[in-house]
Amino acid sequence: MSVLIESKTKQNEFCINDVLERVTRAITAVSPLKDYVAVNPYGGLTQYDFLAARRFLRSVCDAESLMPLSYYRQQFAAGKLRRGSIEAALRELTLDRNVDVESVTGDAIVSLLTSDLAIDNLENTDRVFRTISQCIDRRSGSDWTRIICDEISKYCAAHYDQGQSTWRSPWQGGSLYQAWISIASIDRNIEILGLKRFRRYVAQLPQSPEAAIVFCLHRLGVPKRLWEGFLMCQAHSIPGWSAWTKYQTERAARSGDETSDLAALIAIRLCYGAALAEQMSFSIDWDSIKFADLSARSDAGDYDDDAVARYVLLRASEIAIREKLVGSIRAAAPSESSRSTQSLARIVFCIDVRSERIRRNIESVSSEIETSGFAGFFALPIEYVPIGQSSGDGQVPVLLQPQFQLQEGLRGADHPAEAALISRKRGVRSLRKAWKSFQSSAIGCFSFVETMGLFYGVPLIRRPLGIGAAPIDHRFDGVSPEQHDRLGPTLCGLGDQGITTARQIDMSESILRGIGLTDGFAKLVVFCGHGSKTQNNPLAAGLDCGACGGHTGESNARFAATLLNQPAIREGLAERGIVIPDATHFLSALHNTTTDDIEFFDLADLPAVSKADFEKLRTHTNAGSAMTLTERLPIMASKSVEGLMERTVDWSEVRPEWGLAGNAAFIVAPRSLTQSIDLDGRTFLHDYDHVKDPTGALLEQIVCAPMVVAHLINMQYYASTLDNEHFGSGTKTLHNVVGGFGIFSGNGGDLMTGLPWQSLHTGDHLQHEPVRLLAVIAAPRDAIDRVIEKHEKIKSLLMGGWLQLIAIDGTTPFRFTETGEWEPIE
Amino acid sequence: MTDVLAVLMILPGIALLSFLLVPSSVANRFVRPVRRLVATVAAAQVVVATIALALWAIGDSTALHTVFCCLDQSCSVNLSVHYDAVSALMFLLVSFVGWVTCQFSIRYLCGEVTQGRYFRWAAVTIGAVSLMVISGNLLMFFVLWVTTSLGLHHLLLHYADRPAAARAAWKKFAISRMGDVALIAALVIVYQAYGTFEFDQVFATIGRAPEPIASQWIGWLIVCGAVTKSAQLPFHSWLPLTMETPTPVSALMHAGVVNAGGYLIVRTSPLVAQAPIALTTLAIIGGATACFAATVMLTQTSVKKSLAYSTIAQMGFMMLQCGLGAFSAAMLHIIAHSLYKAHAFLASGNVIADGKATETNWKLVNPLERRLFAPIRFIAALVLPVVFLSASMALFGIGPSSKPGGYLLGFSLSLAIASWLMRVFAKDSGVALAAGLATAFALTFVYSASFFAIDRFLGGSITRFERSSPDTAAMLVTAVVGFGFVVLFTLQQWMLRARRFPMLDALYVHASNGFYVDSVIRRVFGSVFSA
Repeated sequence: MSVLIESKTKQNEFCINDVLERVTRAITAVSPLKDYVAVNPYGGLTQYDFLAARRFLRSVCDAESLMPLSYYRQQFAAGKLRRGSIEAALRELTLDRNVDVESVTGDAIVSLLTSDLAIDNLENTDRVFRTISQCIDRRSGSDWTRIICDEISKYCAAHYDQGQSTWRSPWQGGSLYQAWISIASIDRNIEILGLKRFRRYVAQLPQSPEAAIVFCLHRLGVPKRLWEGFLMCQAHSIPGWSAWTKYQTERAARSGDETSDLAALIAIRLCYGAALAEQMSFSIDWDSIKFADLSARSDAGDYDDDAVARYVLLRASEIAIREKLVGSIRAAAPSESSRSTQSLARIVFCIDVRSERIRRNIESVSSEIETSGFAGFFALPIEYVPIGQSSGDGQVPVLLQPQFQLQEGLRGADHPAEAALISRKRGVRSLRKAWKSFQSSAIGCFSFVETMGLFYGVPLIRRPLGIGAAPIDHRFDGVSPEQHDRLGPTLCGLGDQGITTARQIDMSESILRGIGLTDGFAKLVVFCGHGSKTQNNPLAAGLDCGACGGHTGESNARFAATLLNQPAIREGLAERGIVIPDATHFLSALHNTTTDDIEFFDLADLPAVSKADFEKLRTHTNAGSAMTLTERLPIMASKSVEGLMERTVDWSEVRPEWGLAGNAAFIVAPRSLTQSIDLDGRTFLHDYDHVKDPTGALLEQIVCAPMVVAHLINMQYYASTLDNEHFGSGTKTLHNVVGGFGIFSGNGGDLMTGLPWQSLHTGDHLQHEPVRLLAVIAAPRDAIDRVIEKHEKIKSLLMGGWLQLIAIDGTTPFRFTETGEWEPIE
Repeated sequence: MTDVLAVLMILPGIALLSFLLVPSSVANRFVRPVRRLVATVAAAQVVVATIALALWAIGDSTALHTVFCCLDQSCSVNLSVHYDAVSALMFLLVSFVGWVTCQFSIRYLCGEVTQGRYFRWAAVTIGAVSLMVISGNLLMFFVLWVTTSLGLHHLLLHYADRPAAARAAWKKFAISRMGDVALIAALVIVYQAYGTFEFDQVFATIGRAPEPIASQWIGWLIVCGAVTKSAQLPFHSWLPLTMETPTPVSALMHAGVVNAGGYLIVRTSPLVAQAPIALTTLAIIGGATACFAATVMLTQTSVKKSLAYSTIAQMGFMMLQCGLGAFSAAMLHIIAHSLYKAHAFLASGNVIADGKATETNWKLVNPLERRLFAPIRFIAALVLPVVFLSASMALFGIGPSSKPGGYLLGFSLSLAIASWLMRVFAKDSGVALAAGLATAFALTFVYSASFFAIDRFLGGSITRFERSSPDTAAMLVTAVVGFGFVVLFTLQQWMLRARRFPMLDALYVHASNGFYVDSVIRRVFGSVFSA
């Protein structure tokens, strides 16, 4: 008998592991705040088409992924959306065949847009699954869902706390599930709130989360066919913590650990429901639940008309953007790029949409300067380790892992100087840490306030008036002012990690080939990363370079320039056919996206012969910065440049800059194609010349990495705009940093994962127009086809409508339809 | 001259209060002029308060009492100002905090459709609390006390559609009204006993209090009012729930409003001092609140919740000082805490950056640690603070025995510095040791200096509370609260150790829930579980 039970349990566990794997795949991980980068919250659902994914999501939670009709009404009334685009959208969707729109006509949609009936239907008719507490709350008006969410938040915050609480959870060392079992069998809170004998309920739970899930599913009588949906529903009732535990699960998996914190979270959430159901004698009629197969093609009949109409309007607004872009590319005469003399400088910027403005302005200042667009980590997969420390931040896009450590050091300094610096830095840091723990200690806090409290009057006067010293930059702890410029990446210790000169030559070659920079070198080649400068902003990393893992691109830019200035590396490159003239010097710089200032590094290494050229370059970039700043004044609602500059130091500023708001397109083409067009800071620009890439290897890289990253960023902005409560992080004014890694909105509740409302909305209107990314690739269609055929993931993104693609093949643009064909665009 | 000054002092407050008459819809529509006006008036009030304080400091240190007008025939309901060292400091403090939060809110809440409404109620709250601290009589004080609370109530409902915001606001509302009842009763008895509400007249006749039983009642009732206002056990539970409102509201509340309970005690200290048992009880409540909230604070995982429990603990400590009769120390605490907490809330977005600034994942260079032998370290850490404190107090001529509660407060400071020295002694660097010792001495010096300064400044404006010399009650308080501090100190040391104790683990769980006080109240009084 017992053998029978055991084998049955085994069988169930096997089954539950499959189900959990599918649920895990559907959740997107979120990074801690210090490394915050954009992710696609719908990322786990991109194997379905856009509307099917929406329906799936809405069958388990009330998240929204289409703008309401009222929004499109405004757009239509304001003339931003025209009838022509709507007709075109209908025609294209019919062709694409993902959604049946035959029953929908342009007239019907226009009449929806012009009628003044209240049409925003807020009821979620797609909803199939609800958690037990949601069902009970709906029936009795109780508040169990919120209470359970707060409880789980409390446990998760305590378990993952990295620096807020002085008294850490004693169970932090164990797994989330074990920690919860231990605490929940002591904790009386939920019992006081009315869930009786919960400690006893917890005591009888199995030892693994998977077994606990099966245990609860059996207690609730959930049939196996509904397990996946029901568990997905549990995960989406606390989407923030699901995303966070997914991050933990992925991190554990990388170090070979199989424990799934996400499974633990689902188990915990389910246990509360099961215990509640037993107390309330509540049961769900599972037989009444019909759950359709998602992989089937969606018919218009599957959706309420409203959703289809809104989907058509989404496509229509995307078509409007596309037509404008294609029109301006056609109208612009490709500028002449071949030149006889060596140009003054080439600046390589990140593909980030904010680079577009400053590139255009700098180019307009001087024809002697050329610019390129390339992923801002410059293809250098590094972990940048601050001096004296054992580990640092990963300076890579979210799709990659750092391959080696790059050490910060004092460039050109001897060992004793560095050792002295390290010892000073350790002194400063450890005293600061002791001081911080003194002020937050149980007995010290009273005396701290009585002695030091009065001194806080000084910043309270200083900061509102905007006077006084700049805040201390902790990077320079223990570094004397004259050493500041020399603190940067060094090549020390690379050899020990197997990054030999040959590997360094490989890396250098791939940078240059990636940019398409193999001949015609300018006198100065500048790698220009970017970063933001804001105050009092827990989401600051979201404004930094996403390609550098939510940090500034400084270390990558300086490393790239350092590599390419090495004579040994230049020799190696020459052997491989890339001859860099001796007169060419590589520089590094950082574009401050908040002030549009460009700061150059390592000028001490600048050869005397290049000094005059550099001064000229600096004059031009300064002029370009000023022009860019002026251009941004209207969207920053700032009357003066000074007002804009103040935002970087103003501690009360909630809109220091717009980040990547407004992003809409990703252009893979030579700069000559777009040089004469004002793209309004809405476009990612990646340099690519298909003539130099006969094998299509480079194209494959671009499509699979930068294009996907641009798509993730675009989806993050899209989802945060659409459903800020579910996928965003609400208003900044309520942000409450939890555990040093995440954000609560207000007292508690779920972890908030996306962008704050202030980063998307001006207070008057949306700054970010929610559209899916339009990728424009200037390459032969068959070359693009080969890449798409090779990568199933890319194919399903394109055919599911997650991003649109057009090819500029020769002079004609073609649209990639969702059936996988090329359709010429008139 | 003095009358002109008194008029100048109340004008900004009245201007701010008059925003009560501006409908929220109008304020929202004209948000730009409204916010600029409010911030400007608040700034003007800071200027007036600064000038007034300066004039007071160079003046002859007699309380300025100005009656502007009588609102009834017998002249018992008046509009009047009582300005002395206590109200001078408080007036400047609340004006300053009010101005900082207004200035902060201009950009911080920019683009919110209800920013005008926010500034309307911020103006009312700041105006009310500013006029409250310079009120010349108990009735006016009470009316403004209630107005402050109502203004704050509207600010707490800035995001009224958030259920948790409404829950917090209404919980605070209920607790505040309890305090109001106590104060109304106190008001009635004061009027019956003294025949006036005016502070100067009441204080002047205090020695000739008509009925001892009446003065006992007055003392107890005022203590009750103060305890509810300043979030003392068990009336604290609303405070950690108020993070559902924009950050500057938290700053204003924690720095400018919640300490009104303490101010009430200090202001009416001549009255309260007549009821020593009430004060002793207040000291015990304060001490208990301080120990309780400091323990809970250690376990909190979010920055604003930690700050909220920190405020409760600090208010407890301040009430302890009030209860001990250490009114100068309490005033110092109110001011220092307000400045610290306003800054802490407004800068709470910096925690991620601060976290990076204390990163210490050092590469192991020198694993050898030269540490002092443990018992020597321990004894040194305990003895040195006492030496430092005695030395710096001697420097300023402060004798612990001459100050009420001097020994207990000195003891808590010594314990705190001991905990600092233990941290420093655990470092392996000589530089850290030297810096740590210097800091420890600086702390005692700063403490003595600020206490000396504020005690001198307050001078005759506060009651010199003299207990009968062999006061067993006071000694009991000292012993009990002192023991509480030793427990906190021990707890702090234990937490740093790797060894686990099941009892301590359980304590952690209960503390992280705030010892369930809020949940019990929610269960008993809440209607959320209506089936």
